[in-house]
Amino acid sequence: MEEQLLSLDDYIAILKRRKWQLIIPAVLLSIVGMITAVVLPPTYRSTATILIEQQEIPDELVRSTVTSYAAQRVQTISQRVMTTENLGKIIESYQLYPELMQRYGLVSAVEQMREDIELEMISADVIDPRSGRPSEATIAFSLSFESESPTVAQRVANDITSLFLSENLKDRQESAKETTAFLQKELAKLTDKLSLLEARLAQFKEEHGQSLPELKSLNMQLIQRSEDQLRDTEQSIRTLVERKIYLEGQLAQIDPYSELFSADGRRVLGPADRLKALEAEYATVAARYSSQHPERMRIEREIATLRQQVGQSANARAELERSLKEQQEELAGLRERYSTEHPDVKAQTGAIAITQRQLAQARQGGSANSPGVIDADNPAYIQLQAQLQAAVVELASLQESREEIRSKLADLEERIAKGPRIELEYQALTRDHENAMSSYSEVKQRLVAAELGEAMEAERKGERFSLIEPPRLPEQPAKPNRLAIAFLGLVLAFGGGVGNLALQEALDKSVHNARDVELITMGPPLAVIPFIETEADVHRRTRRRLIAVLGSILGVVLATAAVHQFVMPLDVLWIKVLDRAGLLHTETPNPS
Amino acid sequence: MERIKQALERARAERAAAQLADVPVLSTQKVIAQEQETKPAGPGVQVSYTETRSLSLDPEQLRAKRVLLNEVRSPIVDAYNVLRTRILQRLRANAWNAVAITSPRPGCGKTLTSINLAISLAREVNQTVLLVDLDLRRPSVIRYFTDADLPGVSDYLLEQRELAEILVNPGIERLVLLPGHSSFTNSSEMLSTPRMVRLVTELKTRYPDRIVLFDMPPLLAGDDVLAFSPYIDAIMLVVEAGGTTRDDLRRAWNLLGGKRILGVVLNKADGDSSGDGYY
Repeated sequence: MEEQLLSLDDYIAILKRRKWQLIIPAVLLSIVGMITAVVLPPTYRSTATILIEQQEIPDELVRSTVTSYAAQRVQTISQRVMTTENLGKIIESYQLYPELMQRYGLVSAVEQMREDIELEMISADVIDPRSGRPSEATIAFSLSFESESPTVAQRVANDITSLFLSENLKDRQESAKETTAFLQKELAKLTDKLSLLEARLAQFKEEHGQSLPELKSLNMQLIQRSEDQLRDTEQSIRTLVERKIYLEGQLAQIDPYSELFSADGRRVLGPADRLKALEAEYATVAARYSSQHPERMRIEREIATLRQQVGQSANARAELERSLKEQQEELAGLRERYSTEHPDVKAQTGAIAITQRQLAQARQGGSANSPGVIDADNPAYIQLQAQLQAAVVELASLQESREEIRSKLADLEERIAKGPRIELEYQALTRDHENAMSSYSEVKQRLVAAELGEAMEAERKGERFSLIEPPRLPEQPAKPNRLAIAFLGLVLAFGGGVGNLALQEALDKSVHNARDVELITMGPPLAVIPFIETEADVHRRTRRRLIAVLGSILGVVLATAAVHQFVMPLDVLWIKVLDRAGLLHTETPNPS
Repeated sequence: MERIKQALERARAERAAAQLADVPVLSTQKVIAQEQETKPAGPGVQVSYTETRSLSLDPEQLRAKRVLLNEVRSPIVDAYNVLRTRILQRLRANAWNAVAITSPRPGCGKTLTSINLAISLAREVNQTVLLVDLDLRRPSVIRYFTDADLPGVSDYLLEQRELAEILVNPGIERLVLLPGHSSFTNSSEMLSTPRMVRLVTELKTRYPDRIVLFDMPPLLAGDDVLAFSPYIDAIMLVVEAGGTTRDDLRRAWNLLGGKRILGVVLNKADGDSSGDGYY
């Protein structure tokens, strides 16, 4: 496409050539615009302004549990309010949109109503107290309803406004209640958990109470003390043992019997001495007499009796010891040859055990009666013997207490040894407990705050909507702005005309002037010959114009007459038009 | 040929004398005289001695058909005069005398332009003009002058008439018409028949001072112009303002690319947009 810059002349030429293509659509469109401006039904709008008031109690004291932004909440509430159910009730009670209801049903009427309800936020530039940044906050909002009747507009706006206000209250209270209920539930859960943990902790302490890390130092002290005690006891034992040995030595040196003297003044020998003497005597008697000799037999019997009396204890023990030694040697020999499972070995071990037991018995008997002499009558001996016995008893008790101390010490040491493992478990338990405790207290705190918030909402001290401008009865129609529509119609009509012209020009690919030719033929045309107009042409043109003028006049007259006849009388129409254009300054007749 | 030359010279001299004496002499009569004299030399062209038809014209009627006969000065006449002068200059510069007039599409007014141009050319005394209607599909030239059914090129081609019988003098000095009469469907073939070629050669070469205008069918509607182009000197394109599209003009121009194009005439222009030549 050969683009060429058009000069003003070219534009004028185009305009001349296509003036009708501009004028006709422009005129038609402006007529349409005018008719629209006049015909559009008046719409009244009633508006309520609702202020979003901040809560009265300072935020620092009682924090509301409803934290969403006001604008967001208003939108949420509007969604709740504008349900089909709510709007349907209003539509029914005021019988709005009868045509829509009849033709399409409730749903489309509700949709239309949603369009007619206008929710507008009123914002102000504020500085956000939390972030300190300047921002826009919604401080109020307006609710309007549009209707063709001013009364209906006002009443419906009123209803919707009260719906909004009550919904907001309900919403806030519910929200606060929900928060509280939720926190209470959480708190109950936490209490359960906490008691469980506490029970476990108590049980644990009961089980491992003495090994708890907090008792460690005490245990250490106890060990210390027990060790001291042990040392003392052992010391005492050692002393006692020494003393016992000394006493035994002493005792051994003293004849248990006080020296007896027979009536003849001879010293009566003790059984041991008599035995020795008899044994010595027996050797001579045996040598001298036959075995049947009564003397010899008497001596023999006496010896046997004495032996029984003297040697029983000492000798029997020595015998036992000897046999034990033999058995042990034998066992060692057996062990070299056989395994411990061998029956011989087993038997031998059993025999050794028996011997040992006998020996122990013998010794016990020996030690018990180590002094051996019950019937001692030597006072020194008896005294010594008593001392020895006391020492033995004390030794026994000391030994017993030493064992006690040892076992106690072992017990204490075990406690200390168990400490670290227990500590781990214990710490885990304590930690859980502490955590549960802290969250419990936190939730508890929050619950208190939430309950405060709920109380605040219940007493309507929180942020609230207050109606500062109730819906008024509109006096002037809000829509349509007829002058604006008419003006816009004119502008659009002109624009449409120009557009049509431009479109026609763009679509017209024909050659119009010398320049078009030049662009293609690379040279000017030979000649430009104007249209040759004949008289007939002139006639025809004149006649056509005449017909057009007469026709339009006739048309206007006919149209006017038709309107007068069939629609409404012209004078009424004129008044109406003036009224709608807002040029008639009379009071709007009150439709109610 | 000597004799032809002599005859030509004599004719010129006579014409010059006639002009000097301001005696209206119909050139067609002279043509007839010429033809009578050259008859023996004419190679195969049978010319019979018949009077050229003369038409009595009704200026009113012509004006109603937009034929500009004896107009006072008007922008249109001026425009035609400009066209005439420019064409004459070009023809003379190239020693051409046969011009085909066509347009991209029908309805551009090429026949009317041909007629008006022919009248304008004839008004200048230096040459005679012959307007041949070669739009064999829709011959229409003669209808601008008369309603009578006159024989034309078709009759000649069908060998029913001789050249002299079909020439018509419309009552305008120095202008002779060769009407088309009936139409052919195979017009382009007819245009290349030997008889046609002979006719064209005859018309072109007989008189040096005669300008022959051929009214041809639309260029883009058939191949007539292209088929005929070898026999003519130059082609003039008539374009209708507001009617011919640029594409058609471009196509026509490209189609005639190698041919001798005299130029483009923008017809039916708006009164003001013609611009120049208006004072």
